[in-house]
Amino acid sequence: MQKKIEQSIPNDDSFSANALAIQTTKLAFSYEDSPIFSGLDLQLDKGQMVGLIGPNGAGKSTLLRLLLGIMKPESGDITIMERPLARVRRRDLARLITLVPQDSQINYAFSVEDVVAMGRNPWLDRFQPASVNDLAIIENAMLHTDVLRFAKRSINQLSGGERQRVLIARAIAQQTPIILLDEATANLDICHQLEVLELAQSLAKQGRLVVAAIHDLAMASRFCDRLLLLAQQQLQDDGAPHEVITEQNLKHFFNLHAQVRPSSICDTNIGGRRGLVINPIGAVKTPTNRTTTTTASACHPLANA
Amino acid sequence: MKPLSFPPLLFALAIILLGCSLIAVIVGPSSIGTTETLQVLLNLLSQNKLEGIITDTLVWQQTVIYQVRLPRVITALLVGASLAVCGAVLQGLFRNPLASPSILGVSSGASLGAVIAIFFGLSATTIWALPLFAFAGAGATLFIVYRIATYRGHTPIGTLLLSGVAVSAFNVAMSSLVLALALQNWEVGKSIVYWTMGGLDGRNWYHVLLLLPVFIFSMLVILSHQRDLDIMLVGETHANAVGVDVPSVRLYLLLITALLTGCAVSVAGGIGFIGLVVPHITRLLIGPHHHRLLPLSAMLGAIILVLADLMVRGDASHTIIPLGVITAAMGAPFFLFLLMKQRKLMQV
Repeated sequence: MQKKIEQSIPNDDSFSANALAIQTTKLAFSYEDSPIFSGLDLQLDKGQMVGLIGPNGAGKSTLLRLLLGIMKPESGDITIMERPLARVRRRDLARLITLVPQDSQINYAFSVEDVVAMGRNPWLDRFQPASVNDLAIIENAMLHTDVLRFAKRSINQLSGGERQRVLIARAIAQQTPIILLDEATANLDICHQLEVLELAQSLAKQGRLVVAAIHDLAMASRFCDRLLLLAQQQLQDDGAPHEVITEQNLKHFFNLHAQVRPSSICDTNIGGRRGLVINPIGAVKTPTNRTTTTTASACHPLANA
Repeated sequence: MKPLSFPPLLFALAIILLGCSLIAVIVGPSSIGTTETLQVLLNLLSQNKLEGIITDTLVWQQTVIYQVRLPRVITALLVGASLAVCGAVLQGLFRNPLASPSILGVSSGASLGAVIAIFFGLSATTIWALPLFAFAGAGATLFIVYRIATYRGHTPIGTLLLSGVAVSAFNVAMSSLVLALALQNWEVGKSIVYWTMGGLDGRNWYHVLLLLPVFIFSMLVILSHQRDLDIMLVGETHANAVGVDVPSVRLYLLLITALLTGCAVSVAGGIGFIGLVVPHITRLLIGPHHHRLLPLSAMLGAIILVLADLMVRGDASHTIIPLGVITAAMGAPFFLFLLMKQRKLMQV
C-alpha cells in the first residue's frame, strides 16, 4: 500500500526540482477603498506545512485566492514554482497549485470517483478521456484519503468530513506540488479536523508545500511546521508555532487575553514536537496597550488550569 | 430515484422522437391518409435514386407534406431542443435549478429585439432581421443581468435571478410599449401579438435553414465544454482550482446561449417552461453529467415541443391556441408536481 501511495507523486520536474514553491514580492491588495494588505513578502519552500493565521478579515482567504490566480493583485508580484503567476495559463497553473475550499455542500449527484477524477482535468485535453494511468492515479488518491470504500457513492450523501477527504483526494489526483487549504477544517467536528489535518501533513511530508488558512490555533501549532501571522494589513510574524503563537501576539492581533503553554502530549508523528495549549481568558476590552495589561492574566481563575 | 443507464434511454428517446415526428407529419387538417403520407415521405427519401418515379399521390398532397408539415415539425424539433439545451447550460453555469432562458430574461430580451424588428418592418425585408435582433436583445439582456449580479468576481445566484427578473420585467414593459404604439396599425399589431404568443404556423424551410446551422454549431461548442460544465457544477472555487478558466467559459457559453435562444425565440416566439422543466426531468432520469444530460435534454425538449405543437394543430376549429400557452399550461403544473413530490429537487 505504501508503495502505491508513493505513485501519487508524478515523475515531473516541477515536483522534484529544488525550486522555490511560492514567492511574493511587495504584494498589495485592496477591495475598493479598504486595503487588505500591502508590502507582503513571502518565500515558501516545498516539504512544509505552513499555517496562515490571523483574525477574521485579515485577508487569509484573499491571499490564497491571489496565489491561485482567481483575483489579481493590486501591485506586486507572485511566482509559483519560480514562474510568474500573471503569465501562466489557468490550465498550466492547475498543474502547479490547487486549493481545497472550505467544506460546502455539493448538491449534485456526482459520485466520489467523479469528483476525484476532476483533479485530472488540467492534465487532459478537452476531448481526451482518462487513460489507464489517470485511473490508477485517481484510485491511489482515493486510497490515500480512505475514500475508496465509497467511491461509487454520491457526494451529496456524505458527511462533512468525508466530503473534505474527497476534495483532498481530488487535489492529490491533480498532482500539484502546492496545495492550499482554505479553512478546510472550519465546519468539521474535532475528530474530522484531526483527520483532515493529518492528511494534509502527510502530503507535506511527501514533498509538497501545503499552505493552510486555519482558525484553530492549537491545531495550527500542532500540525504546522511554520506559521504566518497576517493582521492589520501586514505579515506580523513568521516562524515556528511556538514563536508565533505567543500571549503577546494574541493580545495585539487577536484582541485576546490568553495563556499559552506547551502541550503535555508529545506527538511522535511530528518528530517529537509539542503542540501548544491555549487557554482563552477574555477579550481585550480597550485598544491594546503594551504596558498596562501584561499581568492581567495572572490573577484570572483560569490561569492555573 | 436511481439514474437510468444511458444507452437504453438514448435509444428509447430516439424511437419516441421518431414516432412523434412521424405522427406530427401524418396528422393535419388537410385530408391526407397515413399510407399516402408515408409514400410521399419514402419518395422524398429516395428522391435522388428514383427521380421521376410516378406516384399515385397528388401533387398538392406532396406540397402540403413537403412545404408545410415537414418544415414545421423539424422547426419544432429544433426549437424544443435548443430551448432545453440552453436551460441545461444555464442551470449548469449558475449552479441553480431555477436558471432558464425565461427566468434570466434572455427570452424576453430576444422577444423585445424581435418585436422591435417587426415594428420597424425590418422582418418583412429579410428573414435574417428577426433572428439578428432577437440575438442582440438576448445578448444585451444576458450581459446586463450578469454584470449587475457580479461583484468582486462573484456572481451570487440570488442577485442573478433577481436582476434577471427585474430586467425581464423591463423587457416585457418595453415590448408592450412597442405593441401599444403598433396598434395604430392593426396588421403590425396583430403580427406582433401572434408572434409573442409563440407558434409554428407557416414555418418553412427557411426557418429550418436558419436554425439548423446555429443549433449544430452551438451544440458542438456546448458539448466541447461538457467537462467544464460538470466541474463548475461542483463549485466555482473548485473549478478554478482544477484549471477551468471560469470567466472565459462563462462568457463563451453565455454568448452561445444568447445566440441559440435568440434564434429559437425569433423562429417560434415566446415558448416558456421547456428550458426550465426539461433539463430537470432529464437530470432526474440520467444524473448530472453533461455529456449525457445535454443530448438527452435536446431530445426530450424536441419531443415535448413536437407533441405540444401537435395538440395545437389537433384542434380542427378555427380558434388558434398559441403554442406558448400549451407549453406553459402543461409545464407549470408538471413542474409544481415535481416540486411537491420531491422538494429536494430544488437542490438537485
